[in-house]
Amino acid sequence: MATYTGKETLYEYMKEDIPDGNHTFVLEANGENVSIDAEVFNYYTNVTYTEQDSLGSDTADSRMLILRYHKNLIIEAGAVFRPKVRKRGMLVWVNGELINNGTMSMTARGASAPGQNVYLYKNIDETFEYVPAVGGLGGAAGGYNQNGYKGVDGVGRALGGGGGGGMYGTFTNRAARGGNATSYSGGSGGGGGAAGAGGGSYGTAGSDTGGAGGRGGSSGLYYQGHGGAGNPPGSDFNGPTDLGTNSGQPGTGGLLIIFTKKFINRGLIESRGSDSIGRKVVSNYYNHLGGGGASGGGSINIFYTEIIDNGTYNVSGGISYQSGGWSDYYLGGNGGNGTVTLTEIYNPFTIDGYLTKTTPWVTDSFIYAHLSVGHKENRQIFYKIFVNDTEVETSDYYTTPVDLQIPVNVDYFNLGNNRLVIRLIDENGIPDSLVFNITKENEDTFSFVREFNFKEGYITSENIEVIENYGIALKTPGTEFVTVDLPTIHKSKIESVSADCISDSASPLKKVRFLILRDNTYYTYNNGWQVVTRDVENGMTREQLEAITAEQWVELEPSWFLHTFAVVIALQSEETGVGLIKKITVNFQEPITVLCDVITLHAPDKGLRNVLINGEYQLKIMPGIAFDDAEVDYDFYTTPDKIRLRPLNLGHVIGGSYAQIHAIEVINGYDDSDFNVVLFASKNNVAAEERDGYGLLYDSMRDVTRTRIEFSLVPPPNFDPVYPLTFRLDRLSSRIFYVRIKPALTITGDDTFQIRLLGRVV
Amino acid sequence: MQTGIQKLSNLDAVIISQSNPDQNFYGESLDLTDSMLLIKPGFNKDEVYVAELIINLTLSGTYDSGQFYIGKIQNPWDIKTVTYNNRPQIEDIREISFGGGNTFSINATQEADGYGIIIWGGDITVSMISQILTVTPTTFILPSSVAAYKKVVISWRRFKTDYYVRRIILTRNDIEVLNTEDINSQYVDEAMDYDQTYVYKIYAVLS
Repeated sequence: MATYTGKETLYEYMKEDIPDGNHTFVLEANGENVSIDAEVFNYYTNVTYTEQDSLGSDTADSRMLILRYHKNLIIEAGAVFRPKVRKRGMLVWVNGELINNGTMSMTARGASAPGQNVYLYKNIDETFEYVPAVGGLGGAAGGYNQNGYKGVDGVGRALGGGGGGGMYGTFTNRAARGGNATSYSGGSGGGGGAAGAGGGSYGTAGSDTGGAGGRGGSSGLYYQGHGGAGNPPGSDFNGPTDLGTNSGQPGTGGLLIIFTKKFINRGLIESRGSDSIGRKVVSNYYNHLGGGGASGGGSINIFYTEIIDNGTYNVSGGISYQSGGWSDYYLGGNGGNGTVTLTEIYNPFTIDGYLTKTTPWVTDSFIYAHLSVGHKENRQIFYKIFVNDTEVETSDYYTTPVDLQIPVNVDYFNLGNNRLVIRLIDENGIPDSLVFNITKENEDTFSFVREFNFKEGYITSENIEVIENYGIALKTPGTEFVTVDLPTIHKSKIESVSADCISDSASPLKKVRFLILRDNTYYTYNNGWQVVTRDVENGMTREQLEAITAEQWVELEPSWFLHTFAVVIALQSEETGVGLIKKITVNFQEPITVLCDVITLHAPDKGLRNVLINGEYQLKIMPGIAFDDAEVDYDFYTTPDKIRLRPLNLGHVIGGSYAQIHAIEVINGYDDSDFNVVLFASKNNVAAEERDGYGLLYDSMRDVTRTRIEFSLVPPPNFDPVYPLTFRLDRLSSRIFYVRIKPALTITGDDTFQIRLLGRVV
Repeated sequence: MQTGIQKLSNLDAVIISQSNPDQNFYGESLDLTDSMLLIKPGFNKDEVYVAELIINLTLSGTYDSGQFYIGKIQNPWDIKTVTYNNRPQIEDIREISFGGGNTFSINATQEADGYGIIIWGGDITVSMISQILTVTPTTFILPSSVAAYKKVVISWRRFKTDYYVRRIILTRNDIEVLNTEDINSQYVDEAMDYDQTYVYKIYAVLS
């Protein structure tokens, strides 16, 4: 069971592919949503009907009966094309010719159900053809010694109301009105009344929802009130005694809808109401009688594009009459007549053509509709383009006939599914529309569905037609090939491929086969991939195609994105106009996220780096020249990259006396440079004055009181003072030098000076 | 998210013997005391990076522990024609220990980038060989130098996979630092702190 939505009329739904079964069709028209419950039966071959009353299920009143003939329907003379039981209408859709030589009938098949506005068809002026929820009203009951009134005739497409009950005698409240018609039933008849005194029974009105006919009302003794026709009919009554259903007949007129391309009627099409036949029950003792009303006639609605009509129609309401010729009998009212409407499905356009593709890639610029447009009156036309119900372009006028190449910018479409409508409009404003489902794809689209609803650019053979909802068909018997490219851009591996196609048929011969085209070579899978020639006999069946596993697809080619790929569909048929394949679906594997590798890196402390040597990291100093603790490795005073980490603390010194000698290591961290190094001292960026073997800082006025700096490459006790100190420092080597100061006499407290290094590359 | 791509593959193996130096013992098994077992792993080394390769030997019986040798085969060879006398060149020979028993599991990851693996040197007879192979589309290229606040180049080898590489993701201590379709890109980390450890992971989004 499915619920179909998004369309306004039953006609629009009938153009869709609807499987057998119980479904609900929601008619979204005129600002309301009308849910039509229906049972659907499809017939895909020509059907010739010779039976009577054999249509539909045995379930009464709950659903509309929809019969879909995809080819032709012929009703033979003598046949009665009518449902088995009451239905909420019978819709007959014929894609070819409907030839009626017998009887098509909804007589007495009106349903006991609430009415609905049943939207059948939308006219070119955008008005709706519909059957109203409420039809003709029921006729009034008779007054004193008076027949009941006829039900009101249907107007437009409405059904007829039920007849009112007839009344014998003065106690006129014994008879009752007829029921109002619904969209699915003529009105039920009201109960007749007969009374000469009080007491007894009272007649009831016919149902307003296609249900029971009214029962009769009677005061008793010589009086008898008869029931109206309906679903079921009302009972006859004598006084309080229910005499059962005798007079009122079962049934009401029902709803009949026909959509057909060509309608040839040589027979009868009817939907009559049921009669009320006055029958005096039990004996002639009962002489005073009031008859029940008859039920209303139905609604016949025929839509066609071509018609040959030599037949007859009957939607009359039921008749009320008596079977005995009794003089004191007042008849119920007749049922109101229903309606017959024949409507041409008018379309002045003839359109042939194709869309280049319905699945544009995100980077495509345009898709094109190639249309050959004709007009019955050769009027000028223009077109409008709607994407997802938004108008995006309007053309100038063209004189017909005309071949159009209509570009549609792919940017108009959203990723995924879109609805493209190309509306052709003639100079009188009469439109016709082509509707396409467009799927805009990108690299994140992993399921490619190629539905064959419209002829697209890749279908090149003139012998191939594409029938909307039925797929690819051949125009003449033979064999054809259709190549469907697989968009392998940014995708690598196929998960599966499936097809919606017919099963093989031997007579008439019909066959669908599949080959895989990689670059310019054809393959099939048969215990491994085999290179084959393009021949229908070499192709795989649908079952074989769908049985190919993801691993087997990869065997054909692990890197799909390096090649062009296509599925080649081989079609062979002795029958023309029959959809052979509707759809092919290719599922690609979705992306996976893979952890490829993990590394752990350690950034060492200041002045150091980890250097990769023979696949392993070794701790090295940074490139540059560093001052380091002479005894502790990499306990820098200044790092190679010139970060001053700490001073050399000379400790407490006494002015005028030599301080303790300190050792400092100089390291060349470059692995590609040797240096001649000069060391000197400075204070406040002023270099010490060079003297013989020592330097003097400018921190006092007199030489004897200035701070004296001495360097030596020789450790104590053989400290050999020089100034400045020069030596060679090769790459990745170090040298220890010694420093001694004799501080100034004039300074107290903390003081600093710098040892500077000047290196020249050797 | 998965780690590596598990693949089944069809390895093959053959015995060659010093005692019968011109004979190919394909389909037979001999004691490895004076014979060599040549294994051809079931993958193309040019198409994948091997994250781990475990060779499992099932032995013909229960054997005592011992020392064996494993080497990487350096040049192409034919499993049906190889003999001791025309055996391929072997390098990176290393010693491996067998703990005894009737199965011998060998981590041969470091031999996986050669043309095959060769094992010899002890009194065992192999009756069956299987492998557990984990491959990966890429591996990191270790930076030549790692230092704080310096340019540390994080890069990776060219991708070798039969999948399409849609994008790559690089994380640093589990925080994404790169997400790009340019699989040939690299990342320069100039913000390592002193005396700190960083874990980099590279992910590939494949389809």
